[in-house]
Order: sequence, then structure tokens, then C-alpha cells
Amino acid sequence: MSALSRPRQSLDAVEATFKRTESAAANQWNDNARRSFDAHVSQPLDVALRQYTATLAALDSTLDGCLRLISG
Amino acid sequence: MSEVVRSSFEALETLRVGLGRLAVEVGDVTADAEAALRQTHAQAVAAVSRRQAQVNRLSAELDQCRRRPPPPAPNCAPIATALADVERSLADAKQAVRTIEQAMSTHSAARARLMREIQALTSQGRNRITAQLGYLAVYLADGFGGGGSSTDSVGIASAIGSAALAEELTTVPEGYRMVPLDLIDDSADVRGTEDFKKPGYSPEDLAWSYTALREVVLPALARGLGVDHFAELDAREGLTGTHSYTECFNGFFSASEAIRLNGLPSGRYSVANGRHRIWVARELGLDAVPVLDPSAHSTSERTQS
Repeated sequence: MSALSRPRQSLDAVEATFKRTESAAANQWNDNARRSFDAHVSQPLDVALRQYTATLAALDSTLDGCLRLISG
Repeated sequence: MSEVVRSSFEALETLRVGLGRLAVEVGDVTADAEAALRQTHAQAVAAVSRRQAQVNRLSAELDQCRRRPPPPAPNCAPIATALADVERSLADAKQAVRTIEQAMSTHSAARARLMREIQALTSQGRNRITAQLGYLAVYLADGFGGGGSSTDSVGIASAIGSAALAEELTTVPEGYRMVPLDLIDDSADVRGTEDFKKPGYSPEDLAWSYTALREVVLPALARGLGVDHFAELDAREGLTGTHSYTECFNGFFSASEAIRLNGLPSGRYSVANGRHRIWVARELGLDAVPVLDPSAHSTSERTQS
């Protein structure tokens, strides 16, 4: 188990729960509102979360290397 | 109809709550990641400390060994080898500490950026949903709902347990009415966010006004309260300018600033005043906006001409 595996898993779970909620509401908007919500809220949220997910993955790999250096 | 609307309310309300929860849970995740980084840093610092102690001990042993007078000639090579090994592992541990400190700094910046974006986006999302819920309710209450009525709407609001929403289901002040956006022609003057140049009147500012209209102004008007009440609320909440209830009330319900429409022979309307607000209302997905009664306005125009 890596140093950041727990927050990474939690982030995946949080995102999955939100996506389910978002999907459930997808048909409840009128078309204009849904498109606008997607463009101004959902997509930027997705991008922000993906960037942070990628940062966590890179840091986790870095920490793995550090843990090897201090083990033993 | 009311079943469909109730389902819409529930799903959108759940999404609004979900956005709030997302911001909190992402905050927890980032705190968790920071704690994991701190813990790894502490492990590395402890390793440095442990290895430094070993280096000190072996250095002292080697020193003692070399000072031992012959005969026999002391064999210090094993100690020197052990010391060299521990010095290498000390250098590794120090390198690990530096790398982890860089990682902490990288994470701290990424965390701050993410939380700024998440707060702004979830807040904007919640405003959009609030406006959508509120306007759907007002739309129905005002009789534009294709068979909806105030009674139905109050029932719907009660069904989702929103007292504020039920309270809001009132008509707008005398001389004003809700007009469906579908009946209002697009303006060529406002095509996108780049057409919002007046300070204090950005799309986000106007979205704030629609939320304030729905959450505070219309419910207060329904209770017979007016501009004094909004001034008192503004003072209490420290609100000023376009982000104040007074300005929201004046903006929507004073003859000089209200949204005004011109009736067209086709039965549709063109915009005489309020193009930016109408653009934002469409972006928010609202169904209707409050306007100075179009029939009164066109009568007045005819009288003047």
C-alpha cells in the first residue's frame, strides 16, 4: 500500500458518488440549462479533479521512491 | 405534471446537496493527502536522525580504533566500511527528506488551487440549481406552467420539504409579471460573457441577483416587506452595491431599471431594457423573468408617441 493510496481511493469514491448524483439529475434540466451547467460547472469540475488526481499519482510515485531510500 | 416536476425538484435538490458535499469531501481528501505527506516526511526525518546517530557512533569507534597503540596494529577496516555504508544511507535519507519537502510544497499549491476552483464551481453550480428550482416554482405559480397552479406548486414545494420555496411561491409586485423567456427574442447586443463590460454586472454578479431575488426578495415581498427591510438585511449582512438585496429589488422592480419588453405583432417580445439579465437568465436555464408589465409598457409607449 502506497503512502497516498488512501486519499486517492477516497477521491475516486467521492467523484463516483458525485457523477451518479449528476447523472440522476441530467434529465431534469431544460436543454439550455443543462448545457450551460455542463459547460460552466461539470466540465471545469471534472478538469480540476483530474488535474489533482494526476498530481496525487505523481506524488505517490515520488513518495514510493523516498520510502525505498529510508527503508532498512 | 406535478409528479414530473416533483421528480425534477428532488433530483436537482439532491444535486445541489451533492455539490455542497463534494466540496466538503474533496477538502477532506486533500487534508488526508497532506497528513500522509507529513507522516512520510516524519518517517524520513526519523531515518535521518537514526542514521546520523549511527554515523556518530561509528565515527567515534573508528577514531578510538585508530588511536589504539600497536602492537598489535589495530584492524579498523570493518568499522570504516560500516561507517561508509551508514554515511551513504544517511545521504539517501537526507535526499528523501528534501524530495518529500518538495512534494509537500507541490501538493500544497495543488491543494490550494483545487479548493479555490472547487469552492467557486460548486458555489456557482448551487446558485444555478437554486435559480432553476426557484424559477420553476415561480413559473408555475404565475400560471405559465401549462396547467400548473399556485396550489400545485406549494404542494410540490412542501413535498420536497422546502419551506423557503413554498414561501416564495407568490406573484411579483403589482405592475410586473413573469414572462417566459421562450417568448422573448434574443438580443444581438449580448452574445457572450465578453459583452459584459460594466463593473459589478458580470454574469456571476447577475446570477447572484437572481438567487437573491428567489431566496430573499420575492419571499419578503410576499410578506408585505419592502425596501426598508432589504436595507436592514444589507446592513446586517454587510452587503453593498450590486451584491445587495436593495440593489436587487431596485434592479428588478423600479421602473427605470426593470427589465422592459416591447410587444411585437407576432405576440413575442423584443428587449427594451435588461438584455444582459435576459442572457444570464437563459444561461441559468430559467424559464421566466420578472418584467415591467409589457402590456402596461406598450400602452404607455403608445400614449407617449
